[in-house]
Amino acid sequence: MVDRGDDLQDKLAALRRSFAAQVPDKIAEIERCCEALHQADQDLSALSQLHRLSHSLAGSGGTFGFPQLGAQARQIEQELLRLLQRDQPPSENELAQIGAMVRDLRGLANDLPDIVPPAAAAKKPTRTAAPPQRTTGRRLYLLEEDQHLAHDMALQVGHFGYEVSTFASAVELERKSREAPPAAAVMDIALHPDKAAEIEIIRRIRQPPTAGFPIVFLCSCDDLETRLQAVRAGGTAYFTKPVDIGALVDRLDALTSNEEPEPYRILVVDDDTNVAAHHSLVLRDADMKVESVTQPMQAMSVLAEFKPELILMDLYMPQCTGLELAKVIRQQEAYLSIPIVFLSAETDVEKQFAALRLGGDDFLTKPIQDDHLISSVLARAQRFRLLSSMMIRDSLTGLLKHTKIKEELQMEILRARRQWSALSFAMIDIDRFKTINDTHGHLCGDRVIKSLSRLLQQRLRRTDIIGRYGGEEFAVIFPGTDHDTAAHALDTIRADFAEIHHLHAGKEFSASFSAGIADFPRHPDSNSLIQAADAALYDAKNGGRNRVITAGS
Amino acid sequence: MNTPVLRRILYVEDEPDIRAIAQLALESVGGFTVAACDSGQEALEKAPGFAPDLILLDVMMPGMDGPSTLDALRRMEHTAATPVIFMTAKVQPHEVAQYQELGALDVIAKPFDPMQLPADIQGIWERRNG
Repeated sequence: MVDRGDDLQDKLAALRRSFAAQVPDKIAEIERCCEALHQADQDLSALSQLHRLSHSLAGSGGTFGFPQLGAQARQIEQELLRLLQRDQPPSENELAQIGAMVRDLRGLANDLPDIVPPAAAAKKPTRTAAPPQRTTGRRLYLLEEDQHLAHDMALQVGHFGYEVSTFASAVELERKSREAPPAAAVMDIALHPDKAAEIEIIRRIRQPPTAGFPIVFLCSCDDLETRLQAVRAGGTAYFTKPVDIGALVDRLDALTSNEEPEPYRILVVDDDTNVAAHHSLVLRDADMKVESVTQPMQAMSVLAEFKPELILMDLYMPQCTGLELAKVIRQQEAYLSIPIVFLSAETDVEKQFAALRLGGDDFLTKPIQDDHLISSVLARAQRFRLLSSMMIRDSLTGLLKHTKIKEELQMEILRARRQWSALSFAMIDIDRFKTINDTHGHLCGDRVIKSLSRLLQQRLRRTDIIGRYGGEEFAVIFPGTDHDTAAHALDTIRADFAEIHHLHAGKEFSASFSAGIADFPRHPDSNSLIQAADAALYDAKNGGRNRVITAGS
Repeated sequence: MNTPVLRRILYVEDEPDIRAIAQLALESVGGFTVAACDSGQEALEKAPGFAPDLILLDVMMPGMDGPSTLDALRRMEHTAATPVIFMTAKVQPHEVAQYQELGALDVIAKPFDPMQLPADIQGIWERRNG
C-alpha cells in the first residue's frame, strides 16, 4: 500500500520542479500588481488582488520546498490583510513598505535553492483543539535491544495510558515514525562513537519531515560527555538506568500533553476608553482573554467574577490612583500574589519605584510597543499560573489539594443553585492501601495512587473537578450531573482500575477502590454532601469493597 | 473500540500544483483512494458517485469557497454527515473554533508537508472519529 520507492520521489521532484518553474511568473504578477497599487488612486481592488496572490504563494511555498519564499509571501499577505480590513487607501509610507517586501520576495525567487528530493518543506504542525476528554491514548515508540526489558517497560508505561510499540533497531523506528509519527519516543541507546550510525539516524528523525516529536534518552552513563551527545543528537530528556517509571511517565506526560493552555485572563484598568480598548485588542490578538474596566471603582467586583491572572493598571485615574487601587487589592489575602503591572506615561523614576514598592510587579511606560506589552504580560501571567497551580495542586498527582477541592465544591454548589442544575460529589478510597504499602513498599503505593489519578483524569470530563482528598482518598465533583449518571461513569472506571496490573519486583498485583456518591439538591450544602458521600463510601467498604454506592439509595 | 477505516477521500482544491502534490502524497504515501476536484461545483458533482469517507476542503477558493461548499454538501443526502477537514493558511485558535462550529473535524494548516499530510489526516481521523 505504501509506495516509498524512487518512483514516488521522482514524481514529487517533478511536481516541485514544475512549481519552481512557475515561480518567476507568479512573482512578475505580484510585481505588476504592486505597481498598479502605486498608480491606482483609491482602488482597493488592486489591494485585494495582491492579497490573493501573496496568500496563494504563502500557502504553497512551503509545500513545494521553498519555505522562505512562502514566509516572505506570508508577510506581504498579512500586511495587505491589515490594510484591507482597515478600509482606507494605503499611505505613501505603507506603499513603500510593500514595495520593499515585494523586492525581497523577488530576491528570494531569483535565488531558489535546488530541488533535492525529499525537499525540506516547512512543517506546520497540524492544529488540533483540545479534545473533550482530558487525554487520549498516546503513541509511544520504544527503542530497546533487550527484549525482556522492552516488554517490561512497554507494559508499565502502557498502564499510564500510552500505546507502546517496541523496536529493536533505530532504522525500524525511523521507518515507522515516517508512516505514523508517535507522540514521543524513548530510546535506550549507548551514546558513544561506535554508535555514530544510530545517532545519525536519531538526528535525521529530528529533522523534517518527521520532526516534532520529543525523544527521551535512556542510558547507563551519567557523564557530561554522554549527556552532551544526547543534546547534540536532539534529545529532549535524559534518564539514567535503571529508570524510575514514575519519573519517566511524568516527563512523557509533560512532553506529550496536547492540550492547548487556556487563554491567560488579563484585567485592564484605565480610565481612558481608547487606551483600554487598544490594549485589550493587542492582548486579545495574542490569544489572551481580556476584561477592561474604565471606572476603577468597578475593578473589585470584576476581580471576583473574572479572576484575572494579571492586572494591567494605569497609574493616574480621576477617582483613585493606580497606587491606591493596588493597595486595596493587595489588602485581600486572595489577591496577594496576583501580578499588577503599571502602565503609565510617568517617567519620573522615583514615582516608578514608589509604584513598585506599593505592590506593583512591573512598571511599563507609555507609549509602549505592542510586542513589548505582550511579552511582559505573558511572562508574568504564565509564572503566576504556574505558581498558583503549585500552591493548589498536589505534587504527586497534579490533582487539586484537599482545601482547594472543598472551595471548588462550595463554588459549584453556588453555581448549581443559580442555574437550577444538579451536582454530584464522590469520595473515592483505594481498598486495602495500607496492605499495598506494607507488602510492596511506599514507592509502589505512590505509583498506584498516580495510576488511579491518571485514569480518573483520562476518563472523566474536562468539566469534572478531581482532587486528592487525603493519602489514598480522592474526591470528584460532577457539575450538572445526577448521582446515577455519576455512579455509572465511576463504576466503569472502577472496573477498569481493578484490571490494571501493577508491577513490583517482577510480580504483578492489582488494586481496587470503593466510592460513595451524594447529590445536590438532595443534600443541599457542601457539608451534607461530603457527609453523605462519606457515609456511602463507608457502606461500600463494609459491603465488600470494590464498588460504588450512592447515598440515599 | 473500532475506528471505521478511512479509504476514500474527496479532495477539493482550486490550485493545480497543490492539488497534484497532495493527491500524489495521499495516494502513494497514504494509500487512500482520492477523487480530486478543482472547485466546489465539481465536488458537488463527484460526491454522490464517489461516496467518500472523508472530505478534504480548501477554504479560500474563487467562486464557492470551502464553507459554502460544505454547506451545499451537507444538503445532499450522501454527504450530509461525511466528516470534513479544512485546509487553510488561517489557523488562529478562534478560527479553528469557527471551522469546528461549521462541523469540521479539524483544520490542517497550509503550507503543508506532503510527506506528512497522510499521517496527519489519519491521525485526525483516528482521534476524532473513533
